[in-house]
Amino acid sequence: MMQFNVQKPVKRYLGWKIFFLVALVISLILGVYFYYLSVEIRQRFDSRKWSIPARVFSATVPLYPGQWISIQQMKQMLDERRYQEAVHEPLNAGEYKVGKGALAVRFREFRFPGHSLTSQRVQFEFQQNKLAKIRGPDGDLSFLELEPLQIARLFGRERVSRSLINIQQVPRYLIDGTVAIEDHRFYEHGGVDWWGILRALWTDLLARRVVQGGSTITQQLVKNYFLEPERNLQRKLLEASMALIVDFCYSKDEILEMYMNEIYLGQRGTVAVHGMGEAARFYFGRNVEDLTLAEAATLAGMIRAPNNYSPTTHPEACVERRNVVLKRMLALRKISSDEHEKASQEPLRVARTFLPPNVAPYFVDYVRQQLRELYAPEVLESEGLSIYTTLHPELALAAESAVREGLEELGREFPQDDGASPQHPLQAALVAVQPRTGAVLALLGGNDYDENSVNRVFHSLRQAGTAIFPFVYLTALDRFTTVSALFDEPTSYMVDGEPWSPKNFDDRYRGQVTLRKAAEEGLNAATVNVAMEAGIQNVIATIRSFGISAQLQPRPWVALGAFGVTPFELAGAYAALGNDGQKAYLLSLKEVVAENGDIQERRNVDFISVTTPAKAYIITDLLRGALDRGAEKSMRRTGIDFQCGVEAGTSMGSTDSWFIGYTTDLLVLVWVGFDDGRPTHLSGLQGAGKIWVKFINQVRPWIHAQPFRIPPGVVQRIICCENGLLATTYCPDKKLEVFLAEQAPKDYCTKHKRE
Amino acid sequence: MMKRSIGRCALAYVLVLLQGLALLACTSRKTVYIPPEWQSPPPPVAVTKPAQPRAQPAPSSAVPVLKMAPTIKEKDLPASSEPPVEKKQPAPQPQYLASMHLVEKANSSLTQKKPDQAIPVLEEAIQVDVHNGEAFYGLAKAWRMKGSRQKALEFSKKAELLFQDDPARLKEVYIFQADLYKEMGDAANRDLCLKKASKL
Repeated sequence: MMQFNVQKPVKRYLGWKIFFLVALVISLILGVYFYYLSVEIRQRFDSRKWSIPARVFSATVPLYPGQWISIQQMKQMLDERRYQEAVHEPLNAGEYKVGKGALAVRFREFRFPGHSLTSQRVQFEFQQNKLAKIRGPDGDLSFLELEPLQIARLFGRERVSRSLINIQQVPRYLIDGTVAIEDHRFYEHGGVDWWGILRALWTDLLARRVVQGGSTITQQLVKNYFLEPERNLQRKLLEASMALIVDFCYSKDEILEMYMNEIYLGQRGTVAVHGMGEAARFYFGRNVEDLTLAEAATLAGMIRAPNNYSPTTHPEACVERRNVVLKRMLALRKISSDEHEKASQEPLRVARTFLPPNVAPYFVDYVRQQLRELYAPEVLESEGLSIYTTLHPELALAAESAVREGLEELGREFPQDDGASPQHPLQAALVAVQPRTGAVLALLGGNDYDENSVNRVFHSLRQAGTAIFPFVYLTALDRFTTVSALFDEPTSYMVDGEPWSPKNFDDRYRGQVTLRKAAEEGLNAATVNVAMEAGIQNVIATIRSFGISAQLQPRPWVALGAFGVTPFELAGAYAALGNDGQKAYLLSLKEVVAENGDIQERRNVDFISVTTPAKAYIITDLLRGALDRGAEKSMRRTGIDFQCGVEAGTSMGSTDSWFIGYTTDLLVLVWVGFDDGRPTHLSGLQGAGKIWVKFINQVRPWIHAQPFRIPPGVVQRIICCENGLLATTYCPDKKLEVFLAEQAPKDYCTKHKRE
Repeated sequence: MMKRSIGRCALAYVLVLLQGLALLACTSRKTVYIPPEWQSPPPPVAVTKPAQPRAQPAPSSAVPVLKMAPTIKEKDLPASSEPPVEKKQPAPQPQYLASMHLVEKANSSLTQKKPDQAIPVLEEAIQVDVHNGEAFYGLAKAWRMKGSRQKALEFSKKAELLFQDDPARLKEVYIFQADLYKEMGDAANRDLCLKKASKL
């Protein structure tokens, strides 16, 4: 009996024992697996969560009293940066208000790695289209930087735009609105709201369709971040399981921060807008911390169906949804009834920009090309680099409109009726450089980037033509003065046993002329004459020293620019003339800053002397003369009323039309021609000159031309126009002329005497 | 009682097992590094106009060489070895004032021997006013601090051109250049610069 009583329980619990043993083994395995998973999840969430494409910024725009900027121009600059016009006071960050002769703006904080500008209220006062005063919060300001414009994101295959935000930046309204409308028990459940699921199931059963989802914010985060967008039971289980783990591993604030950065909030063309930071900037032109209650409620309401509730495409549905959010916030006592009332009645105001979708695409391509030499594509596409450039946004936009309008006018005035194929329309390229810093302020490589993205500024080797003249005369300055006699005659030169003779553009020859006249009038025969006298090898050496890399044979036609140059090379060479003979490295990429603020790359202003300031000044003086008296004097009637050295270039066969002009602080080069090298029948003045004038007139507020200063080593003398000797009172025709100090005439004119 | 509790435990294990399996099935996305939160540098402080900025140099005066009543005037700029002629300074241009605001900011960095901080600010100062000799001179000093003598020399040459009407600053630049040439082992140019400086 005793034995029977002992054996019975053993048999009875054997099954359970086996079960417990198996369960113990499984639980051990699961324990290890869970540990592994938690490590894995932590690693993924604690490492980079999102790929952030690099941002490319323009330069900041310097503002100071005395600039020729009108209220309208200031307003336009703010609109480009997505500032909103307001009528109320006080202004919120990201808003401006126009008054009589004044514009008040509350700047947003500009906060990107490497650069930061504070949020402040500033009042600009204008007098006759001139910025007269800048009033800051603590008094008048002598200088203010306008935030750079984001000109591009270097997307990879995924075109997702996201600006990461920190939960501390997010205003309470946005947190409350999001939690209220998406998951009001967010702070109470453990990642999965079982009660919510039951409630949703019940509602769906009653309605016999899916009308309510029970997804928590954590589940939505998991779904958006980890899972494919399919809807089935297996995925729901996965979602719930992962939500439990995420909730266990992370605080509510951390989960909310990840959610607010992850969530999809609509489209900007082909680019998906993700995260509250990006959406706040895109829809309302605000940093997330500056959002108003109504704007925060709008964004919170958009989460459910971003495109159906988009403020830009469905404003009415958007307002309706916003009010639902506000009502829910009121019901949950997150806002007062006054706040609800006020925000519900607020009109929906969206920040609009009039910028084209691609700002300065040729310039961006050039920057991208330089970046590719420094970084792997995946780094540019994912590591959130901030790239600062030299682009002046106002000049870049003016370049696009000047080229577009200029080519249209040229098409009307000089129709190219030689059977031109529409595949090869007349093209133009424009480069604007600040000679004294080498900063590339604007760059346009063609007339339509979408049609043809070939950047002619770099990839188009075109005949320099007469645009090379200044470098010929510069070479000649060792032996010639501005009043030296040259021969403008149809001279024949023997080249490789064959005679070759330069021809003037107008087929007229002036006989004996001064070097100044030859330069100002752009006389081919006289220029070849002086080049041969100075030595073609010397001319080639000068051209090379100014950075032109073409293969040059020592032939007389080198003096007529019968070789290929890129617009960029030529702009660099002229910039050296405008910079006292110091050739500046042409800068476009200024700085690359990592997300943590480390400056990874910085390019600085850099010069190298290629000629003396005195010689550079004399050439500039000759080019100024071309505008005052010479071939380009007609331009004075087009509003070019400041000191400026200009050179129009026409290539042999009229295939290329060039125009280059520079003041003390801006050099602009324009090229016009066909891609297939057909003749345009346009002179430099007729073709490129037209676009140059248009551009210059559009960017007048940004040109601060000062007189060219005479450097040491240059002297001025009053000379007799007939013989170039020092003038006496008896000389009938005298003028002021510049000379290198060592070449200044010492003898007085003896030809003219008292009668 | 014990049976029920064992049953509940078993159910819990099954649930945990299910969750584990669910997690196993999760496909991982591309993982990339996320750096620590970016700390912005202290924001620039808006500063009001500098009290008395250095007046901008102006073109030197005309020196007539002929006794006549010309409507045109000759100008003989002194050779670099001759002392420049001082003249009354006109009111400074607004861009000069704006540029000097930046130069002053950069100078404080230079005083603290932080040329890397000063250089971008000085470059911006030049961008605002390309005739600001102080900005170029500041750049020359900054690059010298960084050990780039050739760059320092190029920027000092620009400062030399822009200080033609400011003998005191010009002298300073010549001495600076003489020191640079000395460091570069160029005795001839060093002597030349010292000679120019001594004439001022």
